[in-house]
Amino acid sequence: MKTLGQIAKYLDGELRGNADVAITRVVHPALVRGPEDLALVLSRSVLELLKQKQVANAVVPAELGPVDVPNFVLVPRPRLALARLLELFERPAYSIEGIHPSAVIDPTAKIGANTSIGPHCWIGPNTEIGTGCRLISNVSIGAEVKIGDQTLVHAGVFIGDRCEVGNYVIIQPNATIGGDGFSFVTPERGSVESVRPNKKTEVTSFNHEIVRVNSIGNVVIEDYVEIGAGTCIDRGTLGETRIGSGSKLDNLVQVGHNANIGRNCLIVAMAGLGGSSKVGDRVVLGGQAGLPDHMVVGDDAVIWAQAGVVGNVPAKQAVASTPAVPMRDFLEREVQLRRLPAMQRQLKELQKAVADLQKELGKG
Amino acid sequence: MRTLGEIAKYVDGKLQGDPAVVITRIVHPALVRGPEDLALVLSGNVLDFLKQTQAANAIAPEELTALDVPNYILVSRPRLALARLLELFERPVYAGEGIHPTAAIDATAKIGEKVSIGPHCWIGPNSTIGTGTRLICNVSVGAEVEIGEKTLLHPGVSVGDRCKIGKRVIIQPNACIGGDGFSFVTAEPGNIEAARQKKQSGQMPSLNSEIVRINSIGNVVIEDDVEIGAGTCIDRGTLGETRIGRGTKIDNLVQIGHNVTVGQNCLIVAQVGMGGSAKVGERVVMGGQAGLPDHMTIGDDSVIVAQAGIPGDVPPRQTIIGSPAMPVREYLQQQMNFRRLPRFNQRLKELEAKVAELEKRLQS
Repeated sequence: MKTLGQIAKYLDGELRGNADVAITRVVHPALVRGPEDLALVLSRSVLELLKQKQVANAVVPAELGPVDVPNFVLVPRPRLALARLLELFERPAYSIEGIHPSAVIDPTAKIGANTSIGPHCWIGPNTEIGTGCRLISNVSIGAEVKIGDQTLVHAGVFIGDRCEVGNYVIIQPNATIGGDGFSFVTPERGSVESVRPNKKTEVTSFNHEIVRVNSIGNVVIEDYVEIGAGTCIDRGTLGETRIGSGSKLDNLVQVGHNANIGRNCLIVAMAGLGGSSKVGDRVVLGGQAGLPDHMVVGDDAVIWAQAGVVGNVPAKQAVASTPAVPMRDFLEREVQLRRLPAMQRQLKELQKAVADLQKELGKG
Repeated sequence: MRTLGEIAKYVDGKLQGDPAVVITRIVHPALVRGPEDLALVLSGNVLDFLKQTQAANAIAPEELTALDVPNYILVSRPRLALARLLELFERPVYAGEGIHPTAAIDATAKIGEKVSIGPHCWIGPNSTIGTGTRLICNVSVGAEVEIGEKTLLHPGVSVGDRCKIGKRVIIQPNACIGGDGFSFVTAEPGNIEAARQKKQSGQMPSLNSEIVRINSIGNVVIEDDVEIGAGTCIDRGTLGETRIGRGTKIDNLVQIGHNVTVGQNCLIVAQVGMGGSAKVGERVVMGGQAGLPDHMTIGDDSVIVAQAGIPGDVPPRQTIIGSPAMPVREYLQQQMNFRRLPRFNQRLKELEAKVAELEKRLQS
């Protein structure tokens, strides 16, 4: 429970109305039920609801100006205000206190103070977990793993031998950190090698034998990273696979062995990064986008959803489509493609005009 | 720890220098720290590092002929040498010995010799686990499952009732073998059927008012030497089986629908999706994020390029690319045509102007 005054201050917003009103819930304007609810207005389209629901308190974007509500807070950047509001009204994941009796912790593992380890977790030999961490339940952590302080590991997560996870990291359920890399070799020339260099269609050599390349490297996840549910980050073959501090990965993202993701990147759901790919700082990779192995993406680049990258992407470049091209070229192409029927009509008219001209000239 | 002489012999390479040198680590040339490190050179563009780090020992492709390093081994196929090296220097996953007291094993299950079953595993009634197999922890094996010898199941893997897994199979964390197929039917003909029949787009009749479940009573069969990636899901057959052929390697987050058959020695890269009853031949390579609809067939040795969306059966030994996927040559032609569109448009305009000019002259 917070007062409107406290909230306005925390959001760095401008309060109009009564600062002492107590707020117990933050809700969508359509779901307001009483005088202790705070309606969150993110866009103009919900303003009508404020009247219908007789809303007493609202947070409103400054650009929508004063509203007809007894108490409201004007904020410059509503989604940032939402982030701050949900810091105040956070409902943390349920976690037990201390270590659950069913958890199996190797006697050589070191567990920091105030760390919570829930039912059926397993911590392997020589692993170190910092202070204030929470492992919700069914978390499997291998041998010689290092986890920093204040990190939250949700149910069903796996962290493999020798991986390193920083401070204030959040790992969503069922993510896999440190599975083996998809690394194989055919002793003889393989089918892909027979078509790749000259872009041939016909395959002329065959994968009769496949030999495994073991992965003895690890995964390093720096501070303040978030990893989505079901996301898989493979360990390096020899060295490391690294996720830079502050980067956020959505659900079901694939990160191949030896990939290196910079700081503060946003990687949206189902994106795939091939082995040894290198992503700069603050890169945004859209949903279902694909980055092949060994590709390099420069700082601040934006890869559009479902793009298939085919070459290195320079810094600050936005690319879209498969094969991915600069955003402007893509939009230009879309315009051209839509013009095709018109061009066909033009061509027909021209053919007719030329035929008429020929006839005319023939007569003369 | 191995001597250079032993290593040269094991990777079938030519040694220049001292065979008695002891090697403790294999590293990227940039990460060499001492005289017991062996630098792995996969291509010519890392040669500068050898000098910078004063590498004493290296392994390199034979086309580099002479290296400025005291001891080096030349090999004909460096990635194969890497595979062999990592057999020598493998760091096997940590697995406890015997059966952990927290594992729940049904009294009717049969467990072979030298099997390791880690904390919180569950083995259902009448399941059998072969000699030397390892279940790391939190592995769930249903009823009447058969698992062969020397197979490795990583944490969080689930194997459903009646599934069969061969020998020397590796299943990475959180993979799901034998979930129910995504198999439903609408009581009346549904929206997809309407769309398919009429190739209809835009406004659809709302037909899917009742969705009826089709239970899955089949199983999944995984043959010997298969590897399955983290988070990959292989659904059980509706009536029969879903089968993965011997030696096939499947990457992370791959979806394999009910009743699919994948042949031997295929390579299926991350985030590929295969619809129900699809049939993939032998030694097929499917690149990342490629999609194979239900009931489609891919012939032996074909290569499906990453992100391809397959609209029909693929003959053997074909390379296909794009969505809808087509032979490489056609695709390249199409891409070139796209690039020509603006010029094409320009020429059309010029022609129109010329024809108009001619018409005018003829009239006057």
